[in-house]
Amino acid sequence: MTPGPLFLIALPLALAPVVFVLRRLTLPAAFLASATAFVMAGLCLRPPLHQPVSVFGWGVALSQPVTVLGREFSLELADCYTVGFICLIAAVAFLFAWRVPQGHQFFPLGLVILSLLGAAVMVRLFLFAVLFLWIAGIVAVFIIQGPGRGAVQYLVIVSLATLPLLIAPWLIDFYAVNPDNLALLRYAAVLLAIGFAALLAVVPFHGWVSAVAADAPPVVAAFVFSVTNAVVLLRLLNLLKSYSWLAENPQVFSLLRLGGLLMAIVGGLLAFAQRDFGRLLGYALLSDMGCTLVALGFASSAALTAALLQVAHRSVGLMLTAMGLAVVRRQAGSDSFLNLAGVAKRLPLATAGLVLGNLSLAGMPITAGFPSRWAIYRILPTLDLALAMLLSGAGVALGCLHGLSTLLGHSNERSAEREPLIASLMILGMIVLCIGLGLHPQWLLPAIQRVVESFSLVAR
Amino acid sequence: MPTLPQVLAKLSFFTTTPAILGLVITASLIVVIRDWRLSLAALSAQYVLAGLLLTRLIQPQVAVIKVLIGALVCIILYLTARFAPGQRGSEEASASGQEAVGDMGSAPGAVRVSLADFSFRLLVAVFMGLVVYSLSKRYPMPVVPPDIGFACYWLASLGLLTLMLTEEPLKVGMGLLTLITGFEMFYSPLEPSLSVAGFLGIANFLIALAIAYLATASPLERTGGER
Repeated sequence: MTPGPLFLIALPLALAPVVFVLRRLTLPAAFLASATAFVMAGLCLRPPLHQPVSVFGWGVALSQPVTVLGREFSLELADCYTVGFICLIAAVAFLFAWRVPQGHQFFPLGLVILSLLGAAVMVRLFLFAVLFLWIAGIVAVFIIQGPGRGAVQYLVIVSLATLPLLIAPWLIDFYAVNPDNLALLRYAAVLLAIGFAALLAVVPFHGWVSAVAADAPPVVAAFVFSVTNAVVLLRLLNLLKSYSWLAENPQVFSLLRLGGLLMAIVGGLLAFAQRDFGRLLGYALLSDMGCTLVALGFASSAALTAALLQVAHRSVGLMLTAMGLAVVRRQAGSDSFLNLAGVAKRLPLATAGLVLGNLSLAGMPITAGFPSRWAIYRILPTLDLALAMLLSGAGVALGCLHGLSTLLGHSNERSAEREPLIASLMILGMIVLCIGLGLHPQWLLPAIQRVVESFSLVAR
Repeated sequence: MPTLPQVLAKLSFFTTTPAILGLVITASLIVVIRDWRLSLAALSAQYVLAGLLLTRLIQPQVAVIKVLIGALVCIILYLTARFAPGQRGSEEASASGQEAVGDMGSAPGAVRVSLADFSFRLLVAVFMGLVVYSLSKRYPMPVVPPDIGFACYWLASLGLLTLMLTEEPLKVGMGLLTLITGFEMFYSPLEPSLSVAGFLGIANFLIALAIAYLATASPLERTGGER
């Protein structure tokens, strides 16, 4: 029986070279990468955890831990759902990249990133989780590509975030042998705050998000944002669960609320001012992530449920926006509002996806983003805070509607290029999912509530 | 053939003040000088000097491996700078005195801007030196001796300064690697585990590859031609 963690780390890593060889043959590369991610997602999202499963005749015991070089890798319920979630996102992204190319390296390196992030989720020691996250971040630079500075900024921010996170575990261990020295914990908390703030793009460490969104192929950007964000949040929650001194410190949660509020305000304001769909995506994401952090800052079961629901629903909005943008960018050759006049008539489904995805990130009704936003508004204790969140979403929505007015505008250009059929069908599927989740958010609630129960120490 | 301990014994003179001074000079050169050859030579020397200093704190074999990784990193960056189309362009511009010219165009103007740029970088590096000196006095680093603590602060600060002053991938890479070298000098004695050292080595190597990739590949090649 193969231990689950070993299987989930080794499978994508073993198939990455095969996919690399096939990378210029888009169809087999995309299908192999996507099938791998789907198999992993199916394995992780299929309860119960303790029951061994068979994958193509190969017995896998998900709950069986494994020790590699003295480091333990194991899967708990929240880890299992997180790995399943990121694999599902990867599977959809790989499949879409078959029809709208996102760079030849996306398939093999996407699998490598899945393996590394899986390891970051499953390794018990925080120090090694940080190292895996760092290496995954460096590998992501190769797929972020782009002509601008997005990839360089991402490399720098991931590296700068890692360094304080590497020192913090040593300080915490040192405190265990010097329990009188409370300053050690203070330093550790500060270092953790800096590291997580940089990884979660909290203001003022937010510049890389819009740079990556503008530079990277859109689906790659959505993939990188969704998967890394989910893993970073999980490690943050695990950290709060493991160290009671951290979870019982009200300043930690105040900091989360403040950081989230700043992100939401800055994201909303800057999204409103954008004249480019790539950057708009970045700031919309910033605004949405800000709301998640504000919710986490309230440390209650309801707040944690709302935050995790938002993480899941955000990935749908994000992927939908990215898919629409990928088609628009490919056909129109630009993200800038100035160059997109009349695109809606030529690319109606891509336009619908782009706009609906952005509105979902803004938390507008009937979209996937709405139920979680609504749940967050309801837990906010003051009207001012709720208003700030609401205005942040409105900023994103207005930015998007400004773009839509250009897309619907008149153009003299007569393009013979048609909307790519399969890509459009995938966008249509995502639109249905986005609206479906907006109308029936309870689909994901049972799974999310199970995860929330495992963090009962954090969610008081 | 001399063994590693014998070689290190002969080089013991370099594991104290001369190595610190060397690190101060190499990191400053990376910030101040724009020519990639000099910067890369400084980075190579920096890896060797940091390795020599580390022999005082960690197993010499591990320190030697860190130097070897540094050598690999420098080879990758050298090949990138030598053959990357963008870098060749800047090399030609550099040869004709047009470096950092911006829109000013004329040769005397170019020299003036270049001189102003050099003076500015030098001035900022000197200010950073003062900050590092007072930081290392007021907040001495735990575990490592004061002189090595100063070197850690110096490398990390000047690495950060390089990141702030440049947009070129190759130069950004040198700044980042300088910062990480400073961090490793502090961190290696804290976490002597071989697996952590291995991970840090992999990270250094991958950063060099990523920088080489970003500096070399043209946007069209990188996106597979779809943009």
